[in-house]
Amino acid sequence: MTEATGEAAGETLAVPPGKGPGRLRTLLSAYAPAILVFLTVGFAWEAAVAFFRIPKFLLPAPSVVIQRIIADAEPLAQNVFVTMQAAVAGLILGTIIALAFALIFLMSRILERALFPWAIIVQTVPILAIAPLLTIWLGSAIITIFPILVNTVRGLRSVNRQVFELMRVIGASPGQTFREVRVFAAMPYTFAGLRISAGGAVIGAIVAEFTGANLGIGTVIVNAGYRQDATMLFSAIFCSCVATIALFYVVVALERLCLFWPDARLES
Amino acid sequence: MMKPNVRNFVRSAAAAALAGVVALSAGHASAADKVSLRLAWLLNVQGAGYVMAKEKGFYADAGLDVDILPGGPNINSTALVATGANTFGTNDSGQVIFGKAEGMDLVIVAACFQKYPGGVLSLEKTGIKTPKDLEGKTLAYNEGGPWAFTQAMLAKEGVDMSKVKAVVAMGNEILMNGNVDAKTAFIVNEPISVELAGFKTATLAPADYGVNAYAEAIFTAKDFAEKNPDVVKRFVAATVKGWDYALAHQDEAVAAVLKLGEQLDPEQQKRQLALQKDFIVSPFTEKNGTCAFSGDTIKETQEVLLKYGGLKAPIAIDEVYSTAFLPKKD
Repeated sequence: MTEATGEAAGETLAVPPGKGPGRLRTLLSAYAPAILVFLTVGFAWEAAVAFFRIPKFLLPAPSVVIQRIIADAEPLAQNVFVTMQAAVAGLILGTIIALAFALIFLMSRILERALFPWAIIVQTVPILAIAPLLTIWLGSAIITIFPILVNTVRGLRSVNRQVFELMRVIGASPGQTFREVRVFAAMPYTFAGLRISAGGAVIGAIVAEFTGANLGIGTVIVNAGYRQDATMLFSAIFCSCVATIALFYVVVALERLCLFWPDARLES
Repeated sequence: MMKPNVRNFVRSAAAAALAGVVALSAGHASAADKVSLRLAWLLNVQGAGYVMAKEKGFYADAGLDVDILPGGPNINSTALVATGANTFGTNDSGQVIFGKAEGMDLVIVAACFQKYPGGVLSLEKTGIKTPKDLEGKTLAYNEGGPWAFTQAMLAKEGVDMSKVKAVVAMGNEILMNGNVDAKTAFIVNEPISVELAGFKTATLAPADYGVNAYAEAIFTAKDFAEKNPDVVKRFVAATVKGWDYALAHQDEAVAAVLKLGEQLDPEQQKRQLALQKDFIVSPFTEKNGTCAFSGDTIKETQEVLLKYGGLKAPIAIDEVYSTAFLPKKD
């Protein structure tokens, strides 16, 4: 879910920035539809709760949730921060592991055939079931590895033959070919994987927090469940969504920084 | 038993919305009153009394057609009853108080576990015999009922919390593996699993130290109880018979429960039902009948939740229970 909205938001960012007064209009046309839909959904939700008199223990109105977020801003922020720390640590660790294995797979087809099933197994383990055995950031790392690994391997292998021949003709060493060609070919793919993993990292951290943490959005959710406090539950979900979207944009920003050459971005 | 989960509210909201419509349109029939009972947890011997009341025809004799529905990590019996999706529900009295605080208009009409089944579980060889023994030990906990009541017990017994190393973790493996010395647990079922794995266990029950809540408290929506006092009375009376029967005929009760829950371990279930007897039968019930309860205990539970359970403000506690539906003890 998070990935889908994030992906859509990423597209709107891809609108080329204009200059001067035209820029505001561009920004407006880029964001207005999304904002409009947000507001419509919010109002419809509020109206539905009021009209059908849905009790707040089933579905609190957005206004009630917002009031709670304001009232409990400090603990919520503190818990979101803890979860995001774990998510970012997990994302970095997962990325390192994924890149390392991508390199191993690139160097040896045999190792790839031997180890790739394990990448799939790790991906398919129901993380909630093993959560008690994991530290929080490991939960994030496990979720993040697969998309980055698969995409990076594909990226590393995406260089076409002529380019290799050219490198050979100009006398480039294998190391140079790797640094100057493969890395750049892989980067757009790696970032595509990272975009998916960013949302997954937060979910991984929250799930791991369900069973073994003092702080974090996962513990807020468990506590809200114990206290039957649906308003707090929705507040926690809202805050973690906002934080996840923020993390997604950090990845997008990094991507723009790294993919500086023309035609680098895969989608746009 | 109660492990609240992220999907708790979402699922029950969807289920309640759907089932609520059905319940509203169904009204109530004249032949046999069709009612549903939503359990606090998955069906196991924890619900043996209701299963036997149905199996032995006590519900039918009382003119009731009872649909017994399992609870679980994603099913919240309080919300389902508050919305009218289910007629009756069971849970611990603390959860009903929390639900009331969130605006669920519920009333407890009977309470079958006299002793709160949460507490501290340890291996016997660790030598934790009293709450004081936890000083200098590692205690694993996770948020929820057992932890709230354990904290209250430790405070009452004057345990120096700075000397207890409390860590957040769950799973009995950490106990058997020796990573921790003790953990909060539901002490009617978890000790048995550990014993079946080959370890002797010891438990501390807050209820033994005057920190108590009812479990398997039976509740219904206040509105329903006011409009159908007769249905509620008949349901409670038949349920009491079911529990008495289940405790007197344990093998039969275990067999009936196993027939409904194929994934259950027969040995574990048998031992749990035997252990449960201590939670259901007390001097109080011998005088007042099985599933009888006192408002004083419910008030004490609220005090524990206010202090240790994160309950923000007291609720209108006198409205959350009524002993008027209990069968008269002859």
